[in-house]
Amino acid sequence: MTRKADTFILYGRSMAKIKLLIAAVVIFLVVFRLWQSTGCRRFVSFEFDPLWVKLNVESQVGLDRSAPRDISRFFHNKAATGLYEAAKAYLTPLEGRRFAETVGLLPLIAAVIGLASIIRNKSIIGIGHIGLILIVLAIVLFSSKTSFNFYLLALAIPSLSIWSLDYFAKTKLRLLAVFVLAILTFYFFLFGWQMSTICYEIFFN
Amino acid sequence: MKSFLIKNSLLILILLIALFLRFYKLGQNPPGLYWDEAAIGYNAYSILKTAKDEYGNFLPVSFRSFDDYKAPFYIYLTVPSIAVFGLNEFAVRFPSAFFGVLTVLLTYLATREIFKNNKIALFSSLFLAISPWHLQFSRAAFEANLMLFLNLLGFLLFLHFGKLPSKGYKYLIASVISFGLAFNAYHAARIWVPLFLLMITIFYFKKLIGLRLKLIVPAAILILLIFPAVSNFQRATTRAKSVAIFGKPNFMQNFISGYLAHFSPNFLFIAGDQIGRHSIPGFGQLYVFQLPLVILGVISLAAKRTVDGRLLLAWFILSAIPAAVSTPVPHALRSITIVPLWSIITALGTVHLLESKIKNTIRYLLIAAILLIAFYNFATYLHLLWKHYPKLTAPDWQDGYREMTEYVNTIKDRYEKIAITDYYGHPYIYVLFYLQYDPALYQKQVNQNGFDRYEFFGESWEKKVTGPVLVVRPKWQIPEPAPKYLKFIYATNGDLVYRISEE
Repeated sequence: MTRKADTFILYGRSMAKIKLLIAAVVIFLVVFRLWQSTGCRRFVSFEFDPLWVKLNVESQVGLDRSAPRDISRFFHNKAATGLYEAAKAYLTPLEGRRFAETVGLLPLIAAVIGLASIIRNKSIIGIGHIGLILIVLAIVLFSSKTSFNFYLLALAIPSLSIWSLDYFAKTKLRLLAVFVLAILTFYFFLFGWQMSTICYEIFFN
Repeated sequence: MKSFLIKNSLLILILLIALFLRFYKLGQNPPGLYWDEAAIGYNAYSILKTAKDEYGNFLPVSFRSFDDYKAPFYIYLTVPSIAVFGLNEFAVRFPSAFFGVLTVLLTYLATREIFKNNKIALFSSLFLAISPWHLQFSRAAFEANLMLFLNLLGFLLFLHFGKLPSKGYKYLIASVISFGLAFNAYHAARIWVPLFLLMITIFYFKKLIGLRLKLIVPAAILILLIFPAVSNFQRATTRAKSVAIFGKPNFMQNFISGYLAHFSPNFLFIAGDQIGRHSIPGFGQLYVFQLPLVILGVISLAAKRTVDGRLLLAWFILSAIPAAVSTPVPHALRSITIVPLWSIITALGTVHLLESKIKNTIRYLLIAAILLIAFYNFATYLHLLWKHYPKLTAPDWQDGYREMTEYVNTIKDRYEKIAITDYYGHPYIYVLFYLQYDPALYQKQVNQNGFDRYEFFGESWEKKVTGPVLVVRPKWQIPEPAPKYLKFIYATNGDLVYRISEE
């Protein structure tokens, strides 16, 4: 709930300017991160390898030596294990540290708030946007071009933050939070050149 | 009585499920006794027999153990359990399993108190009863599980106080006692309990301030209960210092990424905690079927405009902090306070789905699909727990110590010395535990490197006596020339653990 004293009484152009400013801050952070990653020679791969399914089934069945084969196959089969391995690979880019390292704190929080506001407002365009990001995650799963995958993720996920602009522009406190988070994110990026969860081998000029 | 049973039949059924899942073969699975469990058991045994810990300290407020100064409350609660069941794995794990079942009941009561909805409360307790995360920590002597129970009890009592501040004063006192005990139940509680108390103080500030001078009594009780740990700060924080990220490089980055790691979908639904004692390898902390319900539940919880609804949301956001300030991350044990919340959120999502206004056909199809996945998930979990877990995590639980010490016990009188490898960690506590060594006798000769006729060695062993010696070596130590081997000890997974020889 927002208190009256905190609420901006801004309409039209002024509100639009504030939103533009927040968007500019987010874009600056994303671009800065992309520029930092230009030194990366070998990006982390998220490509899904179907061989994992076979290996997983074999190792699980191997542990069931004493159990009847049918029971073992009920739990460890290519369908269930395939879904498990695919889900694991699909969700890997969203792993906490990697997520924070890829997009940074402010774009991440803004994306989460954006996601919440899409759901709350039941926005059809917003749901389409989420659908697009889910497709991007699937592309990453089947693409072997690791640098392309990174740029795709680094651009797609923060794009959700566009839906949080209304939320952040509403009160002075939230606007202040944006700038504090922006400073923290910049600090985070500035001391995180190694990008260990994004890049295997980085080269600094 | 009959009407009570009929009225609460679903809750009773859920509690029976919780009881069965927590107590069935409690002593056998997990497959061995982790050294902290052995230390808890032996110190409780020592208290039972002598009123002193293994070091001879009279009723200590902090147990020195492996110089990690264990929180005392779980150990004291294990004393009656050992008195009844004897010094064994079941007795050591009994308090955790018992309070695990009670946590299921408390979750029901707290949820009913907050949402005034029996359906949400029943679903919350059901999801906690079958929760892989909660079952994992209820089936071993994890002090954190006791802390979770006390935290939830304190919270429930506080809710009662919050409803009727003037008449509910006794609930406030009881709540404070519960939080004070939680503070003494687990190391991470020393971060979590103050954080949680601060949170509920903010939410109920007006009601608390309204008590004026009456606040002195609960404050004094709280101070009294946390005083032993605070006065013993240097020692009480020994363990914390070894795992905390405070003062280490990149604190802020590590904290933020560590915090986020606890909400990573891979950790929650796919792979779980990477420590073998904390989860079943290859299984998430939550069931996959919970994923859509959790999404619905979070939306539903965020929409709750009540103070208690917001309090739950704040609790949810804060609960990963004790784990995020330490390594490794994500850490299922240090973030255990979030477990009932995942169950409550799943229950909210379930009720939201059941009562949604979407077309009946679509709703029934969705419910049927989720039920199907839920049954398959649960069956897979049970299969992995009983068939795979003992084999996959035998080394994590120091499996083999029991068989080794039992064998040594049968022939120990034939030898002048018994030399045991310390390769698998803290062998002395296993010898004390499984041989039920007289605590009074051990207190006179406290030495983790050797006591009585036992000595513990590292890389290599050298014979220093003339008489026969029984030597217990790890599998990889093969002396030349080969000694006379008496027995090989294997773990549940079939791996060779010890070679026992006469030299």
